[in-house]
Amino acid sequence: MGEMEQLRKEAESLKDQITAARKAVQDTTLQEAAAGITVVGRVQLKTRKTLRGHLAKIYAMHWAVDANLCVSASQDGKLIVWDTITTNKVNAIPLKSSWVMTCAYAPSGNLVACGGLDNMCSIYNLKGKDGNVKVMRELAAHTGYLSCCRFLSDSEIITSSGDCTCVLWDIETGTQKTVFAGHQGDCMSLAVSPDFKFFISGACDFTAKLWDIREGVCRQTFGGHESDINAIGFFPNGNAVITGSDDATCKLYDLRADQELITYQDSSIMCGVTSLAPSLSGRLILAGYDDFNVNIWDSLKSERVGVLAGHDNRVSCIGVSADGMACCTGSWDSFLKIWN
Amino acid sequence: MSNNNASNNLIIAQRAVKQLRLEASIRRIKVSQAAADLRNFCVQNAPKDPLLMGVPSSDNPFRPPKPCSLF
Repeated sequence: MGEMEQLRKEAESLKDQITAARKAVQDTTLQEAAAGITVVGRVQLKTRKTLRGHLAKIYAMHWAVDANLCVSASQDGKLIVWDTITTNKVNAIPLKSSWVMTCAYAPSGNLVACGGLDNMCSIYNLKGKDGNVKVMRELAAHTGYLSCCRFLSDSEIITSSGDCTCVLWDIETGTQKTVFAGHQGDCMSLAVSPDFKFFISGACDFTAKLWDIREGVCRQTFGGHESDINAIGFFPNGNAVITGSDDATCKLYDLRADQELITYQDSSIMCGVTSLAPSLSGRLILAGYDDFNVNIWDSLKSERVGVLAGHDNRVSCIGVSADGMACCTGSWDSFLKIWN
Repeated sequence: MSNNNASNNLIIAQRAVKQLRLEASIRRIKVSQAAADLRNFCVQNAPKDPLLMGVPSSDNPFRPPKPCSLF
């Protein structure tokens, strides 16, 4: 038997082993474990603020850890930092490339980042000495578009790319510290664990991967989706991962049981999920869809308990503030809305 | 020549097997424990979840209480 054939057989055997090991711990389902809990009552959130100012589709938004500020990115070529309470624009940053697909706010509040079809992640210092916001670093090495980026600190950022890799960068030197390779399709989204030790990525190979940041390895791979995974997030306790896909479903995977526990789907929903965010307790999952709506799911009962209808085009991004007080949606209709 | 392609494919296959070995070897806990922990986390943190519990207008920073004028 040639070595290729041997390796192929070993790969198949290992995949079967993983399937069997997952089944072996499947002594119940999340539905059964939550049987004694009543479904959440109808959740009706109202638009409290509308953030107007972008002139084209909004592709991304990210809350600051200081809950009242957020950053948004639009293909009008601007990054805008908003005070969500007053709706004032704290900063309006013109970008070199208008084809932006992602943005991020550093936990410190000092930096924001963005990137897109320029294949680069540009870091901006909001707290520069003369008050002007300037590009601090341009992180270039990806050979595909930048789909998502998230800061670990003011000195490290993780990016995901259409070149099928994720990268951990040293912002100071502008170099790649670690390349996380393994996905067989464009990486579309990433999220960092609450303890900053791991991150998860969702890709066009229909899988989500859990990566150990310091060791630089993929620890677990989760399948089950039938199309591209566009959105990914950690359940607030860090032990589970939520994904949103073009297959019109969201799934929850538990990291310690290494398997999917529940799927959030409805026969009436036939369009892709673009974005998602859990509420503070994890009980609610807010997911943005291509049909211009946000559906709110009871995460334990897998029932739709609310809808946010207010945008006139696709909801492209969503985020829940750090203190859980509000949810922000961004849309191709060029507006951001704050709900609670 | 096909040699380069062949050795590349071999390396890719070897990496794939190595990764699968890693993923197969992790410790897994029972779904009953995982599910219970998720459920308990939700229940314990529910009272502090503003979107779940609702935010009274007086405490809502996005909705300053305004006196109602009718003219």
